[in-house]
Amino acid sequence: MECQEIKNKLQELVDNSLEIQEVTAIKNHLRSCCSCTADYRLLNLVAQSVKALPLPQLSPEFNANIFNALGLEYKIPRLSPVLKWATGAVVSLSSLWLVIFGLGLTFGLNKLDPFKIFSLAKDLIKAPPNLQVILVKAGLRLADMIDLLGQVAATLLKGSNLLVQLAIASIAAFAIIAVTSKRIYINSKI
Amino acid sequence: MDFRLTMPSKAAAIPGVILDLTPVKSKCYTHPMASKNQDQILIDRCLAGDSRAFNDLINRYKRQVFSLIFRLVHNQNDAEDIAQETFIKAYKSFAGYDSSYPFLTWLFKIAHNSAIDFLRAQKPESLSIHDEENPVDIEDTQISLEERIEAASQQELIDRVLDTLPPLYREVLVLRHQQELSYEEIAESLDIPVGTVKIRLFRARDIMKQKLVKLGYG
Repeated sequence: MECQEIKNKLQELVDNSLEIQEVTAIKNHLRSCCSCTADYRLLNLVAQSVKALPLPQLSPEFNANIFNALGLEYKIPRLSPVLKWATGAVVSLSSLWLVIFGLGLTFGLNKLDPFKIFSLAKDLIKAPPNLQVILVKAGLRLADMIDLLGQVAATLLKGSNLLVQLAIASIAAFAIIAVTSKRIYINSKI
Repeated sequence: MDFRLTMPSKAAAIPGVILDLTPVKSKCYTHPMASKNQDQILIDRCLAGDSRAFNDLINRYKRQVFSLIFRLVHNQNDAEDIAQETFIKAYKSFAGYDSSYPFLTWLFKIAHNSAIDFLRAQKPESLSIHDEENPVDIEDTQISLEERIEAASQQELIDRVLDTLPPLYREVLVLRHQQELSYEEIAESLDIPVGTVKIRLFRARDIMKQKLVKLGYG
């Protein structure tokens, strides 16, 4: 194909609206034609840039204004009591787990041998050998991660007394609660 | 010569550097039109008087509607007012919505008409793109050197170049590349023939391309 013919088709190439044979022919031409390639690159730049255009934030009252104009009552959806209790329970258990886990790490519970745990698990489950291998590998990865986490926590808590350790665990628990609550609040608004 | 797939970048402007030959397409993107059934359920609930369903519909599409209008009118407050007006009109017209068309297309049609009415009242000349075959003189709307220096990034510069296009050209570019609508869906949204969509889209990109060349790209 000639350059002019190719240039006429480049926009359709950007729009993915060409037949595969035409796409191949154009791409072959682009490999040896700097002028058409520069055109194609610019068209792609335009497309990518328009796609990535920034957008200002909408005001928080956007929905409320529409409801007011229509004379409808606008209420931010709230969590149902069951969900609220479930959330509270999860957050409390997470906090408790974090405190126990932090203290456990400090007192050396992280010294458990993961190989022993997984060999025990392997005896207990009647899974096919392939699945057992996958489970053991996944378990070892998890054990590595826990071990790393333990090392980090132990480094952070090294030399601290019990009160400092409790304070650190409480701050972490508070952070989890704050982040979880915020997320739930946002979700409930959406 | 070596050709491999890369993202387009300034580096690609250097002769001999690896070049992007991949057409623009989205990755892991769920097209809004795919949620047609969910929209219909929400509309039915709206018609039954469930205002939470309407709230869900607003949340689902407000950014897309606002994005289109903002690119047309170029003022955040005005764009937000018109976007709100769009949803108000939509709410009042739910009974007349034909579910054989995607809801978003229908919403875009209302948004487009509202924005055009606004522009017509504010500055009617801005809507002129003369003859579709002989579009605006691009020399009239050049980016100044000061603007070019002010623009901190390539994206910002391109944003400014886009702003110099007539609103109807900006609109098709946004619908095609940001909202990822097909030619047919754009035609449906703007109530114009598919051929006109293609002409506007091609002209818009062509003008952008020429302006970028003058700014030293390519």
